[in-house]
Amino acid sequence: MRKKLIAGLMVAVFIGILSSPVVPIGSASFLHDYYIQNFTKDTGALNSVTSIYLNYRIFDTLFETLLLLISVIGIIYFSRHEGDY
Amino acid sequence: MEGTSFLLKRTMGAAYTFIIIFGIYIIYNGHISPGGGFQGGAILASVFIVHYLITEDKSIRFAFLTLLEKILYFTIVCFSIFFVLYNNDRLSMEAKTMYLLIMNILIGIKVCCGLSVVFFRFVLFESR
Amino acid sequence: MTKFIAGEAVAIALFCIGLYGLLARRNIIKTVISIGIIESAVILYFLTIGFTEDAVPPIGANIIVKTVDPVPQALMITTIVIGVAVTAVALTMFLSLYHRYGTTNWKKVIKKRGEEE
Repeated sequence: MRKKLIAGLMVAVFIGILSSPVVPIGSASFLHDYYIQNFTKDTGALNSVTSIYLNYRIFDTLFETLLLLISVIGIIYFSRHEGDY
Repeated sequence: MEGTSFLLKRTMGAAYTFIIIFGIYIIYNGHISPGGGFQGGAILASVFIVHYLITEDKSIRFAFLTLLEKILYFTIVCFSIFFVLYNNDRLSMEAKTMYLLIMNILIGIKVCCGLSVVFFRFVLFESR
Repeated sequence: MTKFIAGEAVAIALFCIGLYGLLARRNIIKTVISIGIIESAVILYFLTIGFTEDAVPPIGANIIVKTVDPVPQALMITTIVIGVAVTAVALTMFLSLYHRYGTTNWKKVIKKRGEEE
């Protein structure tokens, strides 16, 4: 009964989101145009995803690699059962 | 690993070098085509999985891999801060391309170490 | 008909399926799988935002033609790595919890933890 209730709620949420009006994002095209026109001159890359990933948004990459390092340390810590190494 | 069939061992042993070449290609062309450090590092980490499947070798040095990952992360932070945040406007185009290439290689080796540590921890320590 | 099978609709449907799995199921493994489904829904939605038809990939120097938006693609690489890390840590925590309590049900874990104290 509880599962059917939650399933009905989810279907209602899905239909509600789909039938709601869509507002297009107009202000995001400035960033797109700037990146497309200037990324080769600014960063020396031919792949714009790499130029954003390693030059424009370098803090994303730094903290993402920090997150991977911390998750590896956490896995090593959690997988020690009863004192074995 | 015991229980691996003869067919899988021979095929995986033949595919071994091609996986390494493909991963190095993905990392090396990360700035001029789709690809990059994380993708190539994940492909290189699959080499460790193949190595575990086709041999009985369980002598993985976790301490060395973890230490290498920490040293590489420190190198990445210092390198990117020195190049991008202080000297980005003064560099020439070749230096910028070289920076992207070196960053891709460092991130690739780091992700390869991290994912292989995760895999061998799950296989050797959690599957008892 | 093809207007409704767009990327956004599929992403919202996947998100609702994952949320149903989080709310209605009491298995820990199914909870981790639901988190993975929600992550893939978010990835699909963000990739569909920057996509239009008759657009080319943003690769090459001096691009004149219309291209897709490269910013969501660069963000989604981050999301994929975060998903891998979250799934791995959650499964490791589940394994040590299973070694201690011997069950995969949230309710039974809570009950056994209450009995121990």
